[in-house]
Amino acid sequence: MINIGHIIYLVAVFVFLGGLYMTLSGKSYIRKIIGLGIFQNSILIFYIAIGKVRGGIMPIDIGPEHSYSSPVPHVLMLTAIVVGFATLCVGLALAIKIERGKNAGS
Amino acid sequence: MSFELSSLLLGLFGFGLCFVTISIIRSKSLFTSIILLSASSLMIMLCYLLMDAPDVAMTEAAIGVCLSTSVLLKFAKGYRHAEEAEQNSKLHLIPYFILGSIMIYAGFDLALYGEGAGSYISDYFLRHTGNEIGVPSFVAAILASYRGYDTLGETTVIFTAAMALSILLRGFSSKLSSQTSESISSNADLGSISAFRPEGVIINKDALASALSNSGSQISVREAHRSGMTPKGNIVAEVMVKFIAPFILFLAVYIQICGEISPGGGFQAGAIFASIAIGFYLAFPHKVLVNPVRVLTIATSVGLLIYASTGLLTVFLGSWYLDYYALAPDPHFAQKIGIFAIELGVGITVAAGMMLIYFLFDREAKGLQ
Amino acid sequence: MIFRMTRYLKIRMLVLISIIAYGLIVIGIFFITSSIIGLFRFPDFYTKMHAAGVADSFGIQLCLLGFALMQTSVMAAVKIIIIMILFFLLSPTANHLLIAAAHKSGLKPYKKKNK
Repeated sequence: MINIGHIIYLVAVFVFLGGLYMTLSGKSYIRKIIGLGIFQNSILIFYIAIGKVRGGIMPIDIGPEHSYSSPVPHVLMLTAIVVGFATLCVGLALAIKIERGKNAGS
Repeated sequence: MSFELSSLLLGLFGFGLCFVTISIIRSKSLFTSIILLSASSLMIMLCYLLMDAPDVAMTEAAIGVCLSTSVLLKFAKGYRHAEEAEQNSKLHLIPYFILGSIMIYAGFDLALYGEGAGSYISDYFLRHTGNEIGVPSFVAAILASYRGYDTLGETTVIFTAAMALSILLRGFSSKLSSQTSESISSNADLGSISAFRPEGVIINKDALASALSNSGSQISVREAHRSGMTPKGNIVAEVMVKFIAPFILFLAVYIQICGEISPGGGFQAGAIFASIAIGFYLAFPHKVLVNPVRVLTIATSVGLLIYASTGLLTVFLGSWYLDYYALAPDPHFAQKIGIFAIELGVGITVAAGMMLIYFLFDREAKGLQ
Repeated sequence: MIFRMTRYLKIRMLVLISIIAYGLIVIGIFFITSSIIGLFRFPDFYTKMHAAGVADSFGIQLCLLGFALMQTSVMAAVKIIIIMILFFLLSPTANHLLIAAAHKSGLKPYKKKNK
C-alpha cells in the first residue's frame, strides 16, 4: 500500500543527490561547504522519517496507553545537527585561511 | 493531527524542499544560496514537527536556521570572489541518476512510512524508562542517561571545533588583545583590496578624522558615516535587542532546566543563549566590545569539565563512569541529579562555543588580521 | 429554573465566542492571502517588503487571537497571547532592519518609466 508519506523518502534521496552534486562539482570551497550542509540535512530527514509510528505522538511520557514515535532516531539526529554545524564552522575557517594564503602568496 | 493530514502536509513541505534545493544548486550568487539554505532549514524544521520530533525541530531552528545562517553571512561578508554558475554538460548527471535509482531500488525493502523501524530497541526504551530513570521525556533520558557517553563525545566535538577556530582565526594572539583604537584606525586602510577586506573599524570621530586626513581623502566625517564607510547602529535594532534580551535569556534558562519534562535540553538552550550575544554583536557594530576570547574559552572548557567530572564523581563514589545511581540513594532522584548536571555542562559548552565561533567570524569580517 | 437560564446564557456566550474566533481567523487569512498576492504583484524590493510585512505583523496576530479564543484551557490561551505579543514586537523590527540594510547598500526604489 502506497501512502503519500512515502514521498518523504523520495525527497530525502533527491536532496541527497542535490547535496552530493553541489559538493562534488562546486567551483569554490563555499559551494562545497553549502552542499555538504544540504547533504547532511537529507540524512537527518531520512532517519527521523523511519522513526515515525502511525498514530503515535511525540515521545514525552504521558501514560502507558499511548503509542509513541520512536525516540532513538531523535537522539542520534540531535547530535548530528550540532556536529554538522561544528564542521561547517571549521570548514569555513579553513576556507578563509586558504583564500588568505592564496592572496598572500600571489 | 491525523496521520493522513500530517503525511499530506509532509509531502507538501517535501516538495517545497526539493524546489528550494534545485534553487540553491542553480543560484548564481553566494548570498542567494545562503538565504535559500536557511529557507530549506526552515522547511526541514516543519517536516520534523510533522514527524513528531519537537526536540530535533527546536535544535534545527536554533542552530540550522539562525546560527548557521548568521555564521555563513559573516563569512560571506569578507568573501569578495565572484561566483559563477557551473557550466557543465549534462553528461555529468548520469552517475547521479544511477545512484538515485539504486537507492530507490534499495528503498523498496524499507518499512512503510509509519511503521517505525528499529522498534525493538525503542520498545525497550519506551517500556523501561519509567521504571529505571523516571524522567518523562524519553529523548532526554536516552540522550543523557542511556547514551550519555555519546553526548560526552558530542560535547567534545563542539569544544574541539571552538578551539580549532580559535587557533585558525588567531584567537590567542596577544598582539590583538593589546591593540588600542588608535592603532586599529591607522591600520585600517580605507580602500584596500584583498580577499578579506576590512569593513571599517574606526570607532571614534577623532581617530576617523585623523585617518581620513592621513589617507589624503577630502571627505568629512559626516560623509564617511553617510556613505557607509563606517559601521553605524540602527536605533530600532538597538532598542529591540536591549528590550528582548532578558526574555530570551529567560527562555534559554527555562529550556535548559525543563529539558527533562518537555522538549528541550542543553543543546537548544545553549544555541538560544548564544543568539542573544549574536543579537548584540549585530545591533551594536559601532561599539567596541571587550575581547571575550579568554572568558569564552574558559567557559567552554568549564562546561566540558562539568560533564566529565560528573562521570569521575561517580567513579569516586564506587561505581563505573557516568553511572548516576551512585550519586544518591533514591534511584530516580539520582538520575535527575545526573541528567541535570550533564545538561548544565552541555548548555554551558554549547553557548560559549557558539558565541566564540560567531565572535571570531565577526572579527574576521571586520578585518582585524 | 435559574440554573437552566444561566446554562442557556453560557451556551450562547460560547457560541458567540466561537463565532468571533472563526471570524478573526478568516479575516487574518484574508490579510495573509492579500500579502502573498502583493508579494508577487509588486514591482520592487521595498514594496514587496511592505506587502510581506502585512502578513507577519498583522495577519498572524489576528489568526493567533482567534486561536486563543478557541482554546479550552486558560493557560494555553495566555501562552498564545504571549506569542502574539512577541510577534507584534519582533516582526516589524525584522522588516525594518531588512529595508534599512537594503537602503544602506544603495538599492534604489522603483520609478515608473513613462513611455
